[in-house]
Amino acid sequence: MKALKIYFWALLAFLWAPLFVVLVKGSTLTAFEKLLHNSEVIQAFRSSLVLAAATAVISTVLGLATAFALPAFPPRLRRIFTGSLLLPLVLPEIAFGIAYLVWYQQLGLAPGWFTLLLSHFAFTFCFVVLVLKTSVAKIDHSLSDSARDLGAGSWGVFRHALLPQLMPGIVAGAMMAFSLSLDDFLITFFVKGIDQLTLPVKIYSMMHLRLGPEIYALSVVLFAISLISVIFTQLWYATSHRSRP
Amino acid sequence: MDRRRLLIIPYALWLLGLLAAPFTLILIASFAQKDDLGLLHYGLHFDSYAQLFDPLYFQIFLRTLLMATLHSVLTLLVAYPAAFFLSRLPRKEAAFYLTLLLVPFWTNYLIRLLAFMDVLRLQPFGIEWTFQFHGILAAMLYNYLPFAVLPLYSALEKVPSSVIEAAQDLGASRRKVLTKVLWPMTRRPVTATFLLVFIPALGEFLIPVLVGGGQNFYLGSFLQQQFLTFRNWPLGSAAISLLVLLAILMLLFSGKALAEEEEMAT
Repeated sequence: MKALKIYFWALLAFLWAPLFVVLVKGSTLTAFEKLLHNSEVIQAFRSSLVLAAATAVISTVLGLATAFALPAFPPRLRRIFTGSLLLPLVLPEIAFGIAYLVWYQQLGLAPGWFTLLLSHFAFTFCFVVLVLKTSVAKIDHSLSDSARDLGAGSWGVFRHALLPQLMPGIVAGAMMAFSLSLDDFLITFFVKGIDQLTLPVKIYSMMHLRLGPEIYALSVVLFAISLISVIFTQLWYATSHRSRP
Repeated sequence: MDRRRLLIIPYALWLLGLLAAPFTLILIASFAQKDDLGLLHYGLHFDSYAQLFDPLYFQIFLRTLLMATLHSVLTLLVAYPAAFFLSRLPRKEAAFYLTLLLVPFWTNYLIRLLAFMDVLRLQPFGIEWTFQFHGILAAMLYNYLPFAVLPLYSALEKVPSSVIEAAQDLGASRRKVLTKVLWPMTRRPVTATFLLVFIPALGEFLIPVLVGGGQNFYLGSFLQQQFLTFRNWPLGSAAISLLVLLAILMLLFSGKALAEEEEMAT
């Protein structure tokens, strides 16, 4: 067991080394100064954030509807549905990027923000449904029954009896969709137009000119955002679980 | 009819418009022919499939297969002991170590890859890594390791320590424990995990381009070139069709293993 522990720490060193490089190179004042003055990177970052937020909202709302609908179907059909949702998780991403490129062109959809949003929705939707599927399965139906007995309409039941129970799943699903969209390079690369510069695409285009320190500073910012959101959700989970009787 | 069934409409639209139709179109395009003017003629032509076996292209696919296979074997070999270590820890401690494993992935994929290349440029172990095949394998390992550790951990966690102890008490060596106890009990999740890292690797684009320097072509670059540079849709579509077919056959082949995997994950 001791040997295994040393082995595991060696692996951690391997995985942490690049992050360490980023944090060291990016946490300097000059790096941040350069980042603030690089308006193209800031603009790309802003575009990515907006795209990711829109993707997360759409995927979560439609994913929630799907997760609710699934139990209403016989198990055999449900297995087929879930199986198809797993495909984007296991098939190579490049196949989707290209299939969408060809498909949109056939439909006469010009590459732009709309095709980007559609494509980002396409792959984040699967993750969100798979996360919310388990949340819906865990619903305590006695709560919605009593809400209905107390005179709540179907909206009221959803809002006050179901939604609070589903909240952890919804937050997890939305965060997943957000970060997957923010991180995506390959699908974006194929379906974007000339004017759509998301952050990963911008970084890719800068790479051939050797990266400046501002990219590392940006990475520090992204890392900090992840860190804060993870800590925030952990705390939120902990408190919401404690308050439950 | 249950009114809830109407809520399936978004999924149905997704299935038709963002899964079935695009890939059907790829399949149709793979049987099309491109004339000298670059126009597509639909029909049932097998030219593109035949063209894939041209040594010029075929060597790209062989190289990709070799890379994906070596990468998957390497990743599983590295991940298995790590997952075993986690599986023998109390839940809380395992969660702590798992978090440590995942934290490096909290920043942008592309930046992470560039930072990894910075590390490779320092020539660890006195070896040249960038623009080398083993550099590609190292980057693949770096990128896919957590995806292998997580499912293997959830599989190994289900092997009770008492079983291992019983085997040891009966005089089984460490190797015997591994081959006669752990391996039979985790064979299926291992197969599923293998596919989980193998199939995406077939279409990997950035790592061969960035770490490999792009001198040696892999499937990802080949596809990018066919669709974005040469606009040879039939040839590119034929390659995608075969790739997806191969992936789906492998998934069906190990379908049972995957279903189990999913059960474990939920």
